[in-house]
Amino acid sequence: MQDNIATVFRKAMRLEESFAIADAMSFDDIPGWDSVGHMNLVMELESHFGISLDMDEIVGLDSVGAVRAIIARKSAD
Amino acid sequence: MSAWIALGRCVQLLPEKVRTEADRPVEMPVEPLVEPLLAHADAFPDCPSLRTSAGMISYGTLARMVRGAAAKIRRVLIHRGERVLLCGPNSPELVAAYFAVHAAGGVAVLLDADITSESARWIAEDSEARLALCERELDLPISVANLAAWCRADEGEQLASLQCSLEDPADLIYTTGTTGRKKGVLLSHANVAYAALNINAFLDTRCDDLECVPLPLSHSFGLGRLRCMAQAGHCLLLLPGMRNPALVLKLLLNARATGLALVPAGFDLILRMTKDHLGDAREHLRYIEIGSAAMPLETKRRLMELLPQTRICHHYGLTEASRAAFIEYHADRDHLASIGRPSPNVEMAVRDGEGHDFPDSQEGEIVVRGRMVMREYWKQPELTRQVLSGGWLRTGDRGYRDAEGYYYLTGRQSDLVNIGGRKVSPEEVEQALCGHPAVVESACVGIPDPQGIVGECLKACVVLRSEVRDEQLVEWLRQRVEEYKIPRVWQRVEKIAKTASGKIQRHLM
Repeated sequence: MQDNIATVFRKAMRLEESFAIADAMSFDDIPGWDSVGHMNLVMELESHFGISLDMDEIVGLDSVGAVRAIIARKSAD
Repeated sequence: MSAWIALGRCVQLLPEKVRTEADRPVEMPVEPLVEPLLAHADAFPDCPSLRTSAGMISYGTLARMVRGAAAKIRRVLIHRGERVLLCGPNSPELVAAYFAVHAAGGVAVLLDADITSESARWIAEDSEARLALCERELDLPISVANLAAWCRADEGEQLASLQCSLEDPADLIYTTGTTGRKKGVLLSHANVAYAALNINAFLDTRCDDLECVPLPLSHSFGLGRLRCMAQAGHCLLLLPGMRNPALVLKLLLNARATGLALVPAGFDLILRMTKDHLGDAREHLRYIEIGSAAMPLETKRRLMELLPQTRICHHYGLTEASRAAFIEYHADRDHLASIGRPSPNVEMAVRDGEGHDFPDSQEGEIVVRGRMVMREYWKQPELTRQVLSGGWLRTGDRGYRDAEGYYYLTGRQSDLVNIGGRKVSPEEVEQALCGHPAVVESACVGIPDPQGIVGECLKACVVLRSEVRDEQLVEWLRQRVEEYKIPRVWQRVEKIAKTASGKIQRHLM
């Protein structure tokens, strides 16, 4: 799943393949993670994992680790 | 004592006649905004002025921060009117620093929190600033101090008397010029105080309002909300920005905010990410101010449905003439495609290139006049003469007025692109792109945002000498320009269409 999430981040934020994604990374650590990048992230996550995120879940997408935890929980549901 | 608190109670600072006769010119005494702010603080020290994730700051505490920082700044400034750069994210310290510069007799020059070092250096040199107060390290050729450290509410020296008057310069705001070179808009204390008066009159801001502000205070729109607070005495819920739009809405709902200021792209993001949850604010959200860009009609109608009781006020304005016109969606529901009518105390007209007024329905250049119109462009007298005459400002926007006095925009007279409310010069991005080893030349043009969020975005056409991926060009630009300026659409072309004199023919792209 880590690789999938890294792929989603790279696509949403228009990052190069070589850009390393780590769980501890937050808004300030990832170029392009502004409001539009955040919306692209939500759309890519929903499309890639076939899920729907509610408002509270979207609020919680504030780091790579948080994204991974939410996706893991949604996938287990 | 300030005229604004003559009522002697923290109930309503704006006199009734200002609020109820908004369509007619209103003669009101105004003062440099720091005066009513401090007077309000002295009279009602426990009233909340700012709320952040860290807690509430009272007007009394804010006043101590302002007077303390002003005393420090005063010791550095040699003359009144010297420029002080301020750079930091939204915070009580940035708010205090802004008013402290005014109190000390300086001119505030606000920089985007994420400004590149190159741009900051250029502004420092062009403005001939004496001092910079920054939250992050910037390599500048002037004295730099830590903004937060200078603006704490400590027991240090407090400035005893204000060093500014209405006709003194207050703010120098750099905007994007048509050639890519920034231009400084110099505003006097009278300009910003009258702008606040006009805005408060239209919005009907009350001192018990709690207003959610996710806008950067370094931008004209966000700064305008801060100025209005100084005059109306209400409380701002300061948010760090719109990076997480759903969080903005959640905080607004949790706080039961009565006001909200946001650009159209912000509403679009909130509506897309949270569906109809904005409607959950209908019981407490009294007013909204929208600005800096146009909003699609569909979004306007959606807001009206979700918030049937909220005054939804959309302004038209420029840094040079803050909030020249307003429309309130519900009251003006039959004119939603317009930018509204002139704000209180503001005149507007449509003219030809020679300065003659056009009759209704005839398209020309929109001009505005009022006490909020800028004093001049900094160190650019020729440019000032080109746009200012007899108190009238040429906006560079084309449009017309209908028989009922509503104004409609039909286009711009420049190549500037409005990306989510921020003006971008294509030339600046082209220059940055052309430094890339693989790029021979490039041309950028504004196109409708394919995602429909930020209104316009940049499309870049590039002539390459070697293969390069879009992501590599994006990464190159990230080192050189702000994120929002980076093109969203890329096209490889054989050559750039130009006129005989070498000017890029953007309309052909």
